[in-house]
Amino acid sequence: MKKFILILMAFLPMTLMAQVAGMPLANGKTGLSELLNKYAEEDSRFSFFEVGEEMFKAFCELENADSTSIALLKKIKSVKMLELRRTEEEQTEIDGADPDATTLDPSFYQDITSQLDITGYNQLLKSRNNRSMALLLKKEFGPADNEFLLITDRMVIDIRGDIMIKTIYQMEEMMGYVQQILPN
Amino acid sequence: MEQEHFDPDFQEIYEQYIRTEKEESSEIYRDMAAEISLPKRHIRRWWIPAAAAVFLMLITGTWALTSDKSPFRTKPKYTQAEVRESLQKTIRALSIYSKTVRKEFSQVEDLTAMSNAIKPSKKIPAPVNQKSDLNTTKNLIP
Repeated sequence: MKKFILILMAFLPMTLMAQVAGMPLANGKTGLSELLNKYAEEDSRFSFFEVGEEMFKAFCELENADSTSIALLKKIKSVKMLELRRTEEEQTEIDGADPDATTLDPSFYQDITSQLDITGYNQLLKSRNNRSMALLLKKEFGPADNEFLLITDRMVIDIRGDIMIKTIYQMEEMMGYVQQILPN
Repeated sequence: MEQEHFDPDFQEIYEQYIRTEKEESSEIYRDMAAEISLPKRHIRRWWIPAAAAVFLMLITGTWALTSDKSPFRTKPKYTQAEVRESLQKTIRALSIYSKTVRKEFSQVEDLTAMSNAIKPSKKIPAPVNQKSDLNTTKNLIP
Protein backbone atom coordinates (compact mmCIF):
# COMPACT_ATOMS: atom_id res chain seq x y z
CA MET A 1 0.00 0.00 0.00
CA LYS A 2 2.83 2.34 0.95
CA LYS A 3 4.59 1.61 -2.35
CA PHE A 4 1.40 2.16 -4.28
CA ILE A 5 0.94 5.58 -2.68
CA LEU A 6 4.54 6.52 -3.47
CA ILE A 7 4.12 5.50 -7.13
CA LEU A 8 0.85 7.40 -7.29
CA MET A 9 2.51 10.49 -5.84
CA ALA A 10 5.20 10.31 -8.50
CA PHE A 11 2.84 9.91 -11.43
CA LEU A 12 0.02 12.21 -10.36
CA PRO A 13 1.88 15.51 -10.95
CA MET A 14 3.03 14.32 -14.37
CA THR A 15 -0.50 13.38 -15.35
CA LEU A 16 -1.84 16.71 -14.17
CA MET A 17 0.89 18.63 -15.99
CA ALA A 18 0.16 16.76 -19.20
CA GLN A 19 -3.49 17.67 -18.93
CA VAL A 20 -2.88 21.31 -18.00
CA ALA A 21 -0.46 21.84 -20.91
CA GLY A 22 -3.19 21.85 -23.49
CA MET A 23 -5.79 23.67 -21.45
CA PRO A 24 -6.71 27.34 -21.54
CA LEU A 25 -5.30 29.46 -18.72
CA ALA A 26 -7.30 30.57 -15.71
CA ASN A 27 -8.23 33.83 -17.44
CA GLY A 28 -9.74 31.88 -20.34
CA LYS A 29 -6.87 32.86 -22.64
CA THR A 30 -4.31 30.58 -24.26
CA GLY A 31 -0.52 30.75 -24.25
CA LEU A 32 1.24 31.60 -27.51
CA SER A 33 2.78 28.18 -28.20
CA GLU A 34 -0.45 26.32 -27.50
CA LEU A 35 -2.42 28.72 -29.64
CA LEU A 36 -0.07 28.49 -32.61
CA ASN A 37 0.06 24.69 -32.35
CA LYS A 38 -3.71 24.56 -32.22
CA TYR A 39 -4.04 26.47 -35.48
CA ALA A 40 -1.31 24.43 -37.16
CA GLU A 41 -2.81 21.10 -36.12
CA GLU A 42 -6.49 21.80 -36.58
CA ASP A 43 -6.53 23.83 -39.78
CA SER A 44 -4.69 22.74 -42.92
CA ARG A 45 -4.80 26.29 -44.33
CA PHE A 46 -2.10 27.27 -41.85
CA SER A 47 1.58 26.56 -42.02
CA PHE A 48 3.69 26.74 -38.90
CA PHE A 49 7.35 26.47 -38.12
CA GLU A 50 9.49 26.95 -35.07
CA VAL A 51 13.26 27.23 -35.12
CA GLY A 52 14.95 26.82 -31.76
CA GLU A 53 18.23 27.95 -30.27
CA GLU A 54 19.90 24.61 -31.00
CA MET A 55 19.40 25.05 -34.72
CA PHE A 56 21.07 28.44 -34.66
CA LYS A 57 23.94 26.92 -32.70
CA ALA A 58 24.18 24.18 -35.32
CA PHE A 59 24.61 26.87 -37.96
CA CYS A 60 27.36 28.47 -35.89
CA GLU A 61 29.21 25.14 -35.92
CA LEU A 62 29.28 25.00 -39.72
CA GLU A 63 32.72 25.39 -41.27
CA ASN A 64 31.82 28.22 -43.61
CA ALA A 65 29.95 30.33 -41.05
CA ASP A 66 31.66 33.68 -40.56
CA SER A 67 32.04 35.54 -37.27
CA THR A 68 29.48 38.24 -38.11
CA SER A 69 26.77 35.72 -38.91
CA ILE A 70 27.63 33.70 -35.83
CA ALA A 71 27.42 36.78 -33.61
CA LEU A 72 24.07 37.61 -35.15
CA LEU A 73 22.52 34.17 -34.90
CA LYS A 74 23.77 33.60 -31.39
CA LYS A 75 21.43 36.37 -30.29
CA ILE A 76 18.33 34.55 -31.51
CA LYS A 77 16.70 32.06 -29.18
CA SER A 78 13.68 31.12 -31.22
CA VAL A 79 11.65 32.11 -34.24
CA LYS A 80 8.06 30.98 -34.64
CA MET A 81 5.79 31.74 -37.53
CA LEU A 82 2.19 30.83 -38.21
CA GLU A 83 0.91 31.81 -41.62
CA LEU A 84 -2.43 31.59 -43.31
CA ARG A 85 -1.58 30.29 -46.75
CA ARG A 86 -3.27 31.78 -49.75
CA THR A 87 -5.09 29.46 -52.11
CA GLU A 88 -4.14 29.58 -55.78
CA GLU A 89 -7.39 31.38 -56.54
CA GLU A 90 -6.69 34.01 -53.90
CA GLN A 91 -3.17 34.49 -55.18
CA THR A 92 -4.38 34.86 -58.77
CA GLU A 93 -6.94 37.43 -57.66
CA ILE A 94 -4.32 39.37 -55.73
CA ASP A 95 -1.80 39.27 -58.58
CA GLY A 96 -4.32 40.69 -61.02
CA ALA A 97 -5.98 43.17 -58.70
CA ASP A 98 -5.15 46.71 -57.72
CA PRO A 99 -3.34 46.58 -54.34
CA ASP A 100 -5.51 49.41 -53.04
CA ALA A 101 -8.65 47.54 -53.96
CA THR A 102 -7.84 44.33 -52.06
CA THR A 103 -10.13 43.65 -49.15
CA LEU A 104 -8.92 42.89 -45.68
CA ASP A 105 -10.23 39.89 -43.74
CA PRO A 106 -9.84 40.65 -40.03
CA SER A 107 -11.14 37.29 -38.77
CA PHE A 108 -7.74 35.67 -38.17
CA TYR A 109 -6.37 38.75 -36.41
CA GLN A 110 -9.48 39.01 -34.25
CA ASP A 111 -9.42 35.31 -33.37
CA ILE A 112 -5.79 35.41 -32.34
CA THR A 113 -6.00 38.61 -30.33
CA SER A 114 -9.15 37.46 -28.55
CA GLN A 115 -7.66 34.11 -27.52
CA LEU A 116 -4.04 35.01 -26.82
CA ASP A 117 -2.94 35.60 -23.25
CA ILE A 118 -1.06 38.89 -23.48
CA THR A 119 -0.19 39.12 -19.80
CA GLY A 120 3.31 40.56 -19.49
CA TYR A 121 3.39 41.95 -23.03
CA ASN A 122 3.77 45.64 -23.80
CA GLN A 123 2.04 47.00 -26.84
CA LEU A 124 4.50 48.77 -29.10
CA LEU A 125 2.30 49.32 -32.10
CA LYS A 126 -1.26 48.78 -33.16
CA SER A 127 -2.41 49.85 -36.57
CA ARG A 128 -5.36 49.20 -38.79
CA ASN A 129 -6.42 50.58 -42.13
CA ASN A 130 -8.28 49.23 -45.13
CA ARG A 131 -5.18 47.41 -46.42
CA SER A 132 -3.49 46.06 -43.32
CA MET A 133 -3.74 45.52 -39.62
CA ALA A 134 -0.91 44.83 -37.23
CA LEU A 135 -0.22 44.48 -33.55
CA LEU A 136 3.35 44.49 -32.26
CA LEU A 137 3.93 43.33 -28.72
CA LYS A 138 7.06 43.05 -26.64
CA LYS A 139 7.77 40.95 -23.58
CA GLU A 140 10.91 41.17 -21.49
CA PHE A 141 12.13 37.97 -19.89
CA GLY A 142 15.41 39.45 -18.69
CA PRO A 143 18.00 42.12 -19.45
CA ALA A 144 19.13 40.31 -22.61
CA ASP A 145 16.06 38.27 -23.39
CA ASN A 146 13.19 39.95 -25.24
CA GLU A 147 10.33 38.62 -27.25
CA PHE A 148 8.74 40.48 -30.14
CA LEU A 149 5.37 39.26 -31.29
CA LEU A 150 3.82 40.53 -34.49
CA ILE A 151 0.22 39.69 -35.34
CA THR A 152 -1.20 40.65 -38.72
CA ASP A 153 -4.29 39.69 -40.66
CA ARG A 154 -2.52 36.64 -42.14
CA MET A 155 0.31 35.68 -39.81
CA VAL A 156 1.88 35.61 -36.40
CA ILE A 157 5.64 36.00 -36.09
CA ASP A 158 7.37 35.57 -32.75
CA ILE A 159 11.08 36.28 -32.31
CA ARG A 160 12.86 35.81 -29.00
CA GLY A 161 16.43 36.48 -27.98
CA ASP A 162 18.91 39.18 -27.11
CA ILE A 163 17.31 41.49 -29.65
CA MET A 164 15.73 44.88 -30.23
CA ILE A 165 13.68 46.08 -33.18
CA LYS A 166 16.80 47.66 -34.62
CA THR A 167 18.62 44.32 -34.30
CA ILE A 168 15.89 42.63 -36.30
CA TYR A 169 16.34 45.16 -39.10
CA GLN A 170 20.06 44.41 -39.09
CA MET A 171 19.36 40.70 -39.04
CA GLU A 172 17.11 40.98 -42.05
CA GLU A 173 19.86 42.77 -43.93
CA MET A 174 22.47 40.25 -42.83
CA MET A 175 20.32 37.26 -43.69
CA GLY A 176 20.81 37.89 -47.40
CA TYR A 177 24.48 37.23 -46.85
CA VAL A 178 23.81 34.27 -44.57
CA GLN A 179 21.71 32.70 -47.30
CA GLN A 180 24.66 32.84 -49.66
CA ILE A 181 26.90 30.88 -47.34
CA LEU A 182 24.32 28.25 -46.43
CA PRO A 183 25.44 24.69 -47.15
CA ASN A 184 24.06 23.17 -50.36
CA MET B 1 -5.41 -32.20 44.48
CA GLU B 2 -3.07 -35.08 44.52
CA GLN B 3 0.60 -34.19 44.01
CA GLU B 4 3.21 -36.39 42.43
CA HIS B 5 6.35 -36.94 44.45
CA PHE B 6 9.62 -37.52 42.65
CA ASP B 7 12.89 -38.85 43.81
CA PRO B 8 15.09 -35.75 44.56
CA ASP B 9 17.84 -37.06 42.28
CA PHE B 10 15.42 -37.58 39.48
CA GLN B 11 13.94 -34.17 40.15
CA GLU B 12 17.32 -32.55 39.63
CA ILE B 13 17.97 -34.51 36.43
CA TYR B 14 14.56 -33.59 35.15
CA GLU B 15 15.07 -29.87 35.82
CA GLN B 16 18.49 -29.99 34.19
CA TYR B 17 16.88 -31.59 31.14
CA ILE B 18 14.21 -28.89 30.99
CA ARG B 19 16.83 -26.11 31.20
CA THR B 20 18.91 -27.69 28.46
CA GLU B 21 15.89 -28.17 26.24
CA LYS B 22 14.86 -24.55 26.72
CA GLU B 23 18.31 -23.26 25.90
CA GLU B 24 18.57 -25.44 22.82
CA SER B 25 15.11 -24.42 21.68
CA SER B 26 15.79 -20.74 22.12
CA GLU B 27 19.10 -21.14 20.27
CA ILE B 28 17.34 -22.92 17.43
CA TYR B 29 14.68 -20.20 17.31
CA ARG B 30 17.35 -17.49 17.25
CA ASP B 31 19.09 -19.23 14.35
CA MET B 32 15.82 -19.63 12.52
CA ALA B 33 14.92 -15.99 13.11
CA ALA B 34 18.33 -14.91 11.90
CA GLU B 35 17.99 -17.06 8.78
CA ILE B 36 14.58 -15.65 8.06
CA SER B 37 15.39 -11.98 8.73
CA LEU B 38 18.83 -11.87 7.03
CA PRO B 39 17.61 -11.86 3.41
CA LYS B 40 14.97 -9.23 4.21
CA ARG B 41 17.55 -6.98 5.78
CA HIS B 42 19.83 -7.56 2.79
CA ILE B 43 17.16 -6.46 0.33
CA ARG B 44 16.32 -3.36 2.31
CA ARG B 45 19.88 -2.20 2.71
CA TRP B 46 21.46 -2.99 -0.63
CA TRP B 47 19.12 -4.05 -3.36
CA ILE B 48 16.74 -1.11 -3.35
CA PRO B 49 19.38 1.67 -3.51
CA ALA B 50 21.36 -0.35 -6.03
CA ALA B 51 18.29 -0.90 -8.19
CA ALA B 52 17.40 2.78 -7.91
CA ALA B 53 20.94 3.77 -8.89
CA VAL B 54 20.89 1.45 -11.91
CA PHE B 55 17.49 2.81 -12.92
CA LEU B 56 18.73 6.39 -12.67
CA MET B 57 21.86 5.54 -14.61
CA LEU B 58 19.75 3.98 -17.35
CA ILE B 59 17.62 7.12 -17.61
CA THR B 60 20.65 9.43 -17.50
CA GLY B 61 22.50 7.34 -20.03
CA THR B 62 19.55 7.26 -22.41
CA TRP B 63 19.20 11.02 -22.10
CA ALA B 64 22.93 11.58 -22.58
CA LEU B 65 23.06 9.53 -25.75
CA THR B 66 19.83 10.63 -27.37
CA SER B 67 18.80 14.09 -26.16
CA ASP B 68 19.37 17.11 -28.35
CA LYS B 69 20.53 19.05 -25.32
CA SER B 70 23.08 16.47 -24.22
CA PRO B 71 26.74 17.42 -24.65
CA PHE B 72 27.63 13.70 -24.90
CA ARG B 73 25.54 13.05 -27.97
CA THR B 74 27.90 11.98 -30.71
CA LYS B 75 25.50 12.07 -33.62
CA PRO B 76 25.22 15.50 -35.30
CA LYS B 77 22.10 17.18 -34.03
CA TYR B 78 20.98 18.43 -37.39
CA THR B 79 21.92 17.64 -40.95
CA GLN B 80 23.10 20.45 -43.20
CA ALA B 81 19.83 20.19 -45.12
CA GLU B 82 17.87 20.73 -41.89
CA VAL B 83 20.01 23.73 -40.98
CA ARG B 84 19.55 25.16 -44.43
CA GLU B 85 15.79 24.71 -44.41
CA SER B 86 15.44 26.18 -40.92
CA LEU B 87 17.54 29.20 -41.74
CA GLN B 88 15.67 29.83 -44.95
CA LYS B 89 12.44 29.83 -42.99
CA THR B 90 14.01 32.14 -40.40
CA ILE B 91 15.20 34.49 -43.13
CA ARG B 92 11.73 34.59 -44.59
CA ALA B 93 10.16 35.26 -41.18
CA LEU B 94 12.66 38.00 -40.36
CA SER B 95 12.17 39.55 -43.76
CA ILE B 96 8.38 39.63 -43.49
CA TYR B 97 8.60 40.82 -39.90
CA SER B 98 11.01 43.60 -40.75
CA LYS B 99 9.04 44.79 -43.77
CA THR B 100 5.74 44.77 -41.89
CA VAL B 101 7.11 46.59 -38.87
CA ARG B 102 8.85 49.17 -41.03
CA LYS B 103 5.68 49.74 -43.02
CA GLU B 104 3.47 50.05 -39.95
CA PHE B 105 5.91 52.32 -38.15
CA SER B 106 6.18 54.54 -41.21
CA GLN B 107 2.43 55.03 -41.05
CA VAL B 108 2.73 55.95 -37.39
CA GLU B 109 5.43 58.45 -38.26
CA ASP B 110 3.06 60.01 -40.78
CA LEU B 111 0.42 60.28 -38.09
CA THR B 112 2.92 61.96 -35.77
CA ALA B 113 3.75 64.43 -38.49
CA MET B 114 0.06 65.11 -38.95
CA SER B 115 -0.51 65.63 -35.26
CA ASN B 116 2.44 68.02 -35.12
CA ALA B 117 1.04 69.93 -38.07
CA ILE B 118 -2.24 70.59 -36.32
CA LYS B 119 -0.82 71.67 -32.98
CA PRO B 120 -3.14 74.32 -31.56
CA SER B 121 -0.26 76.64 -30.76
CA LYS B 122 0.75 76.86 -34.43
CA LYS B 123 -2.38 76.78 -36.53
CA ILE B 124 -5.58 77.09 -34.58
CA PRO B 125 -6.25 80.33 -32.72
CA ALA B 126 -7.31 79.47 -29.20
CA PRO B 127 -10.63 80.72 -27.92
CA VAL B 128 -10.21 82.88 -24.85
CA ASN B 129 -12.22 80.64 -22.53
CA GLN B 130 -10.12 77.55 -23.38
CA LYS B 131 -6.72 79.19 -23.27
CA SER B 132 -5.66 77.69 -19.98
CA ASP B 133 -6.56 74.14 -21.20
CA LEU B 134 -4.54 74.61 -24.35
CA ASN B 135 -1.53 75.72 -22.43
CA THR B 136 -1.74 72.54 -20.39
CA THR B 137 -1.95 70.46 -23.57
CA LYS B 138 0.95 72.34 -25.07
CA ASN B 139 3.09 71.49 -22.12
CA LEU B 140 2.37 67.82 -22.57
CA ILE B 141 3.49 67.77 -26.20
CA PRO B 142 7.23 67.12 -26.32
